[in-house]
Amino acid sequence: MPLLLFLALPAFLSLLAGTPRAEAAACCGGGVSLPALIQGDERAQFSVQFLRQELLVEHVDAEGMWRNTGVSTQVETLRIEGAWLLSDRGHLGFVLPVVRRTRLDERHSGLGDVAASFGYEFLPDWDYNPYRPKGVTYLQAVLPTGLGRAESERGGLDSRGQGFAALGAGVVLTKAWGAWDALAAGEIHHGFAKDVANSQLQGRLRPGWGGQAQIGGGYNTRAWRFGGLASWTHEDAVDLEGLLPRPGRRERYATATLSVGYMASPDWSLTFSYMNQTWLGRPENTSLAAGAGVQLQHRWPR
Amino acid sequence: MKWAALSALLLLVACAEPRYAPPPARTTPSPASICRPTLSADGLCLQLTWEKLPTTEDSGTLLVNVTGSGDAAGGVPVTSDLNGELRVQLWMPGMNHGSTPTEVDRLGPGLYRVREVYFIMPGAWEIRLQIWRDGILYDEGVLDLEI
Repeated sequence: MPLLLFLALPAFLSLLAGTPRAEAAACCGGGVSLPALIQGDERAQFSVQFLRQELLVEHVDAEGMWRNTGVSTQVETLRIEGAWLLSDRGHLGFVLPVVRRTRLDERHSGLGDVAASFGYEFLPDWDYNPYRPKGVTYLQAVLPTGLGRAESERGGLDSRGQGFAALGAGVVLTKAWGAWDALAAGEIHHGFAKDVANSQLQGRLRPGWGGQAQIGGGYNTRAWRFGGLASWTHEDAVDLEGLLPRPGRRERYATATLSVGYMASPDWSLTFSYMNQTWLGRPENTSLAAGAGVQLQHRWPR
Repeated sequence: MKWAALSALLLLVACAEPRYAPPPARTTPSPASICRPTLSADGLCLQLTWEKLPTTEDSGTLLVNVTGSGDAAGGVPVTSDLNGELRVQLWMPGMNHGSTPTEVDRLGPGLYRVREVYFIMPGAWEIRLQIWRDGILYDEGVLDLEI
């Protein structure tokens, strides 16, 4: 293995984990954001990502039928995230998304669901073991700063997140073999009920469990990384409780992401990505989109 | 074991199978929506007819005619007034969200016009007709609609 590539591997792991991850469900808020995690040998990192999605399928029903009217809908997400070490193996992170949704002449924008996380490197890779992956586990708290779709009085157009307080936990495993790297990640979360009263709903919204699973991999050269990532997202039904209850329905979708990362220096990297939600899985009760994004990341080495 | 793991992985990453639904023939409630939906508490029927059909870019207008069950009048539905305020919500159960608020005008005893009826996306919708009394939701009738 070329010496430079060997020295760059920890930083490439940051690129791998930094694959843009703002790809929520295209309509109306979508899933819980994944946290900002330190995967390499940094003491801190800061990223800004911009993702623009276009709705390809407006509605996929529970039977898997896809429907579209052809009316253009765009979702733009600016995701600011940072993480810094608290100790040798523990770190804090935050995610701050801003979402703008445009359909015909109607446009809504605002803060999405803000999240804070604590990550812990439970499987360090100090000895560069050829088989054992590096593992980071985390706890995440999500604040309901983004309006949920059920609360929306604009058909979900002004929705910017799940809209529920939630607690989650997850694990990310990464491994590099020569010029190749791989990622496997899983996350579960539980949302907490909230009261709502507006022109559309009166009662108590009760979300359930949700989760995501991811696998990905990439090929690295001296300054570039070419990667792919597949994510599967599940959200339990959100039920309305009250005088006239309404049962919700579960939501499922999968997102395929292709990315090209350029490491301008050990401190700076730029990642371009393309995501598409029509390629994988069996979506249910959701909208599907495709989009492109760019992410700029700065890292401070230990 | 290796083949089982490979099969599981292939199953997991299987490509999506797009199945586009044909557009519904008509964007309208069932033409003879006698007693559908009903307000069970008062035994009233709500007949809905489009005054103006909604499009993908514009809202429509519904007329709501309230009748009794017809039993007392020898099976012939008779117009009956509502004891309360009529509010109409549009709800998409599959996506768990509503639409923009509608506006209801009372044209006369038992006759209402519902404006700003707009469906933001295709799929299965519910037209929820609610009776409010003294600020409290009293009863609700639901009509399913495929857009």
